[in-house]
Amino acid sequence: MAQSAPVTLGGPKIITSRALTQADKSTTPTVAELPAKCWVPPFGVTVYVAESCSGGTPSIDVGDSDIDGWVDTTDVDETTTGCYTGDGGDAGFSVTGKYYSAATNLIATVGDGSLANGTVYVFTTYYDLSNRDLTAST
Amino acid sequence: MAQSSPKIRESCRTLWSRAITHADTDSTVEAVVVPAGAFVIPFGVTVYVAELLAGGTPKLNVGDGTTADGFVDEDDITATTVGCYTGTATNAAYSDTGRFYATTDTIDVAVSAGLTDGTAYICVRYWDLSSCDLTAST
Repeated sequence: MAQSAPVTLGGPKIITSRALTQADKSTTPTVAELPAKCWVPPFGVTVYVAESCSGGTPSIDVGDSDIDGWVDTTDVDETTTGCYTGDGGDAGFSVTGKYYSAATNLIATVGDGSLANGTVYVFTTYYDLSNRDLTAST
Repeated sequence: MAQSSPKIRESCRTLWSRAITHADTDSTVEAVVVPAGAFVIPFGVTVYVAELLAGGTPKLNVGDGTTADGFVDEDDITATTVGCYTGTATNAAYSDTGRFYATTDTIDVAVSAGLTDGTAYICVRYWDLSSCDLTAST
């Protein structure tokens, strides 16, 4: 049954991905395994360039089935260390957040094939709503 | 060594500064200390103007030693109106991206000259990722 009263939830969680490096060039590694019934808030996905990327034209996108739904490569300066988020546009979830009713992996798309160096992490913040019933009312 | 697998943390923290008042006029206040491994989240810095600022041309800028208005720029605040203010991407570079601090740092508030009255507080929300190794790969 759909929830009938407001509820106060516990604190959020954050997933820090493994290091993404030149070894991941031209691949789509998983950066977060989200459980069913979780909510990623607006600006909940951040790309942290810990070591500047070099070689070819470095790029990274982060999303789900929408591969740049959270962060589009145009939002990131892969050659400059720092934190980056999506700004709407192609990365539409970045300003709206997204609710995942089923377990979902967020993936990074790492380009290009000439990537020679660099280290990037992806931070994903989410709220576990698995003990709430957010289904359609009947 | 850079971390080789994802990690999940529940370490969201909130810091509030001391009251920043006219006694701080024409100075830079180290409002809060963020520990090494802190990730200040997007829109994680809020200025709360509790008592309207008066005297001279009241201004506050919030940032760090690298960018004095990195989180909140004076143009993002109506210092003569009580309320909460965050930075905008246009004026404050870190506001919508967040910022990772590999080493301990301070979030600083630059207070304009000539203040005769007013009270503001700074709220900083961050993740403590000190138990994660987010260094460059080797």
